[in-house]
Amino acid sequence: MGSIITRAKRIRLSRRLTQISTLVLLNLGFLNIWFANAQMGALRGICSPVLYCHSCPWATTACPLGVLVNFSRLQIVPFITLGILGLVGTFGGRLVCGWICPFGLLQELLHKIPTRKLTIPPKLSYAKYVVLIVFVLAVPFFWPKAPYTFCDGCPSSVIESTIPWAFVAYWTPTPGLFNGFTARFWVRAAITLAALVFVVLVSRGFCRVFCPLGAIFGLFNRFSLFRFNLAHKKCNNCGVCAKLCPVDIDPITQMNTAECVRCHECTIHRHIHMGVR
Amino acid sequence: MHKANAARLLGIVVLMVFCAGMIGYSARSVRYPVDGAPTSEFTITNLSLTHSVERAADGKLTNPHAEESQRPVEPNVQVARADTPKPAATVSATKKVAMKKIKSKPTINKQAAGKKPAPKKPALKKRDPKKKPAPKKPVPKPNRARACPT
Repeated sequence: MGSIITRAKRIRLSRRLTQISTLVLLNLGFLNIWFANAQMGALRGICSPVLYCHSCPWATTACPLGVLVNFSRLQIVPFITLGILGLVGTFGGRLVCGWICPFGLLQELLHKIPTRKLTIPPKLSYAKYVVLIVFVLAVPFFWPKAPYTFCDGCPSSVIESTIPWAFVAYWTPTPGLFNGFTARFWVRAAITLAALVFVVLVSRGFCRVFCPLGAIFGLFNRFSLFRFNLAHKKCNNCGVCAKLCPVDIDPITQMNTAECVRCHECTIHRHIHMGVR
Repeated sequence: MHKANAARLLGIVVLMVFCAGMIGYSARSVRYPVDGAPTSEFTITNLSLTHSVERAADGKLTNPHAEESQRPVEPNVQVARADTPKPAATVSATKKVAMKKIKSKPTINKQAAGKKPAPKKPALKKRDPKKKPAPKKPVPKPNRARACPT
């Protein structure tokens, strides 16, 4: 029992460290404060495989969903972004959701707020595919000027871009940095607030219901290079892994489905382990 | 079971090579014309983040924030032909005759001919050295690309 607790602590600690390290790496633009010639924003031509808004003042790389939306708007194929998403997805599926996504980290921290927790029906998870097809691909492609794309309602964008730019505009008033508290701002703020309340109540709610990036990586979960395997001889169906799972799936029966974010919580018993097989 | 796993691994290798090839192909050969200039996908991604590239009504990609001087000049529609005569040789014969006439015409001294001299122009006001010049109005800068807070 002691070894299980130690293993669980070790997994959680290493996951937190990875998530925080990624957050720092995605914000290398802060080096521009001390090193004026650092030009860390120059890498924004390439996307990182996580949901992190490129409009953040410190962002190092571009957001893949932002690139997909913009390229759909321009009606051209984003070969580099598709290649990066394909490579990362083939390597580990939704491993990035569980281990390196900063918005996943925020959701996990918010879910620690002690309130009544809810479970959602599994069919609601199909909504993220609708979001991907409609708001990331179709709307910007057919109506390029319409302000109803995924980026226009993305809570990550409000937290990482709109609010920081509002502060920057307050301290160094520059026209064009912040459009002010317009109706559009309040709509986006309301969507963000609703999303944050939702993730407080539902564990990893945004990943499960809305995240189009999770929908893309989920397609790779079944056949990715690294995936979960079950040691049938060791498992005694105790159900502990199902209770630990943050996305409310049964790891024994629904192993490697598109919903699994590969957080490794279910591996503390060593009955489930990740491998190439 | 082993065969299925081998097939999966082979599929993964093929998919990874395909994705890596897609990145390499884009970096090496894919260029989109923005204002007529070939632009890489990397640059287009950078431009699109600040809404500095959009598709115009005629279907071409343009940079709405580009200054006029930065826009590449469209090549002239008239194509120079090898058999076109040089400009010096195109001076017409009538023009040559007119030039000869001007050269041969004697200059006339109007005062000597008894005609009134032309009225003098009013002298220009001298600038007061103590007076400071009026400050120049700032020229409005063209709308440039900026970070997008959306």
